[in-house]
Amino acid sequence: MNQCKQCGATLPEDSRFCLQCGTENTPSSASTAPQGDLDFLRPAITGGLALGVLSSIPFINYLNACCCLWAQAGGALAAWLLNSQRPGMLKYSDGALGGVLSGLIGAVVATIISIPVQMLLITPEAVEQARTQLQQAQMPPEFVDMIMRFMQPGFDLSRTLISLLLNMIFLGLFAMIGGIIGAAVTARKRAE
Amino acid sequence: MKHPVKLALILCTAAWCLAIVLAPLLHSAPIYFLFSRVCHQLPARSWHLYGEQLGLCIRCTSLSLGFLGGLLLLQIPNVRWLKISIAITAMQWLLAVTVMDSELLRVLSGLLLGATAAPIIRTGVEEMFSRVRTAHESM
Repeated sequence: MNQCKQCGATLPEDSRFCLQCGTENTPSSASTAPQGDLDFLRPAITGGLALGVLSSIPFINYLNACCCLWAQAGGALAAWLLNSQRPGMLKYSDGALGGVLSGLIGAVVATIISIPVQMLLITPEAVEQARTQLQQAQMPPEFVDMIMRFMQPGFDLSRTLISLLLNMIFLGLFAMIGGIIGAAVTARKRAE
Repeated sequence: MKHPVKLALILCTAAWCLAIVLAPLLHSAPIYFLFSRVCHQLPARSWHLYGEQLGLCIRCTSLSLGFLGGLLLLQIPNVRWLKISIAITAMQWLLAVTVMDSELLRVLSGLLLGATAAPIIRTGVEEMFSRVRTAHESM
């Protein structure tokens, strides 16, 4: 088990920086003891399901309008579950990989769930109401048209595929950020 | 090149920050549309430029600028400061929904959180690419 040369905190294997005081550790101080492989799949599926479901339920999914908060929470959940496999020894890259995977799984889940949700909830009246609200914003009218193209009643394959692609990019990115932050915070907690 | 991942991260973040300002300047619907996936874009909670709001709200803009500043200026990740800035942001949010919402507090908490998160996220991304490269080379 590695220890920080500055403050003595327990460090994850090959970690470049101490998670407590930030002191850089040279590779020679890192342990080369082999460790069991992390199981990324289960934490990623759990995180992905959580963020996918929460990102597609109307009203609850509004938290994604705050820097994709549900995506970050899903990534952090994956990191927390990974940390339970390797207490106090989780690397930032473990959190990043777990986060990316949960984001990609969550993107698929969110896209699938939003198909019936859109078919049930998006009525012509709801579309008109949304258009009126959007027109109050100081943005180009083309933007309102663009948004409204994604808010049409019924199912549209091209619209669903574009949504899936955008979900994969943004949910993957922000779940990775959540995974790294989750790894940093949980690893520190265990090291204490 | 010594730190290609860091450089790529700085360039991507700079492009992101530039896009926030370019959205109103270019009246760019696609930029607004992409940013609508991550931000509520409420006009009352956004800065305006020439009569149009920026691509992201004030808090998201501050977070992005703080993140860019943190990437450029801070080298060493510090989890203690990240935790403090998360707590400050949470307290600011709580204060905003209960007592008083202040634009200045939103800006300051956003800048702090973005800046403290930046070196930690940079380290995570660098480690992740290093692992992927090592795995690719050993195949």
